[in-house]
Amino acid sequence: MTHRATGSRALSTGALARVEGEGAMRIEITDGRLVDVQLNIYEPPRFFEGFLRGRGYREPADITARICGICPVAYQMSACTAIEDALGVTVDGQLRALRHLLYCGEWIESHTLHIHFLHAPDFLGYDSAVEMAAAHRGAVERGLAVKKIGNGILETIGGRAIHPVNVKVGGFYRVPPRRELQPLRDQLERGHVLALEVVDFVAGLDFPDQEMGYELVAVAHPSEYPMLGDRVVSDRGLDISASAFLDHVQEHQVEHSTALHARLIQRGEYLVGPLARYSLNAAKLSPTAAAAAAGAGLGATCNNPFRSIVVRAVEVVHAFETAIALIDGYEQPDRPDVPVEARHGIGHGVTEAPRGLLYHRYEVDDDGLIADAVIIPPTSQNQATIEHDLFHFVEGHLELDDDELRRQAEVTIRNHDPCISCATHFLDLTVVRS
Amino acid sequence: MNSPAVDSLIIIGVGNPMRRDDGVGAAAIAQLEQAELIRNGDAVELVLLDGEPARLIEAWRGRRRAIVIDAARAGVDAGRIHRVDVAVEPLPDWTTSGSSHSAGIAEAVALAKVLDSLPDELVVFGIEPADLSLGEGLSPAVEAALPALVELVIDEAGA
Repeated sequence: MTHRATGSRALSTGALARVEGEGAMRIEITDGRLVDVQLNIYEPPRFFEGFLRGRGYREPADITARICGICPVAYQMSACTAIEDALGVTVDGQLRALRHLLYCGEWIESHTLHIHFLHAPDFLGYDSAVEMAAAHRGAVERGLAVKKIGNGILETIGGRAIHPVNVKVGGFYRVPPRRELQPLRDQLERGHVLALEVVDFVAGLDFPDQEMGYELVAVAHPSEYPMLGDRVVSDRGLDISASAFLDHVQEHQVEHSTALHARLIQRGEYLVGPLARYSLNAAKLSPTAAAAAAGAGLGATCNNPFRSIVVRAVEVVHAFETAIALIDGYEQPDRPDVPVEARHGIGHGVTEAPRGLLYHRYEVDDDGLIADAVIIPPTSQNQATIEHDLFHFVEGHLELDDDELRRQAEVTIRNHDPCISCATHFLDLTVVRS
Repeated sequence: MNSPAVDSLIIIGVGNPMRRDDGVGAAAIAQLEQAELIRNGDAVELVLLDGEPARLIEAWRGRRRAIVIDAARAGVDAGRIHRVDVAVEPLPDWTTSGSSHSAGIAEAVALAKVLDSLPDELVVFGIEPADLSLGEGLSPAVEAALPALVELVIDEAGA
């Protein structure tokens, strides 16, 4: 298909390649003019809001972790934080440190997967990681090795590699003695070295110039590059507590999508994820991550979505260095959790999933049952912005033939790592011309 | 970070139990955990994965034999069991079709070939699902096929 943009055409795609992110994309061009871009990413979290009602307050951490195999820790962390907020419980000290460590493992795994298996092939001109692996075997093997070490954190702290089972409201079911973390630390040292090599690898890719004017939103912590935190800030002055999130973010239904689109009230579309985290927190990166960012040519902020691959690689370095520091400072707590008692309450939790801010809100009744649940995942928050990106990109590249336009549109979507399923290649492209 | 014997067998259940019939891999693994699966004195390792290709490769890398169990849409009657020996036949369409985690298996196999990390023997059992919607529990057709599936996997493990 090599239709040029002189006539009218509509590009659309049906189901995506994996079940957890059923979605579609439609680009409509009439008389050589871009008329509409619609992205429809199906969102499992909405189902879970209903599924959770009436269940015990300890259940959301395990149930929501099953929404996605790629970021279960994020779901556990936002769910636990929100329910602990509702029940008036604070998890801090070494228990919080262990959660932070677990989160480092998820960032390493998720980012490394996206960098090597989804994003890098786009820049190197391959259709898949399989094609890329034939020519860049060393880079792919290194990616697998880094990912496996991240996995080791999930196995050691989370209890197993997928859908970790060790996290609960109030802390953990079991906390490891210090000596158990030593073998993991040795692996993390190796991973840290490999992660620095990955930054060099991705920094050498060619990036299109595309500075976008998004409002960037991320979780904030006074001293940490944010994974866990309780405030939400933007680069344009938004600075609110997690409990005020729904006062500032409005979700609305759009006709073409089953997903709700999120906007900041009176401010509009915004972006969560690596670009937002980095631009708001570059000064809080660990020392070697900060040096790697500078060496890779990142400035104090980054607004080019294509360069998100570099930011992810820098965040992987940060996660390794942070994980090592957390282990070095670790002392086994006296007990694996803080006491929790059921009571009525409403709580909010915001944490940074690898692909951006993940908000949970729960109302717990007097018996400790979930009366109401709200889950706003990063992909939903970014959907309007990704559409905006697509519109901008397609409008500037109408001269491309349909196949190339589709390929590059997919790259534009993949820049934001919407979730593994949505980031894979679209299927069933149909071209309609009028 | 275990270092399994090169000659060992791993059985991998793939899927998400929150996606109804996509949980058939997990259901099969749960039943296999109750079965005596000893071959030449070696214990067989059972794992549950989500179908993400890199994790599949890490799981079977270094093994001589691997068996993978997953829900897979081939467009036949629900509960029907497909068996593919990856060493001797190409992966059929159902391993690459949309709306199935099996797309992950096809990608993992292709990538493992490039990286020389495919087991000598890799057998994939695909079970035709009736329902991949969100929720717990298998459909009656897949539930009914489960005993036969487990039997086939045990035979395969002992082969």
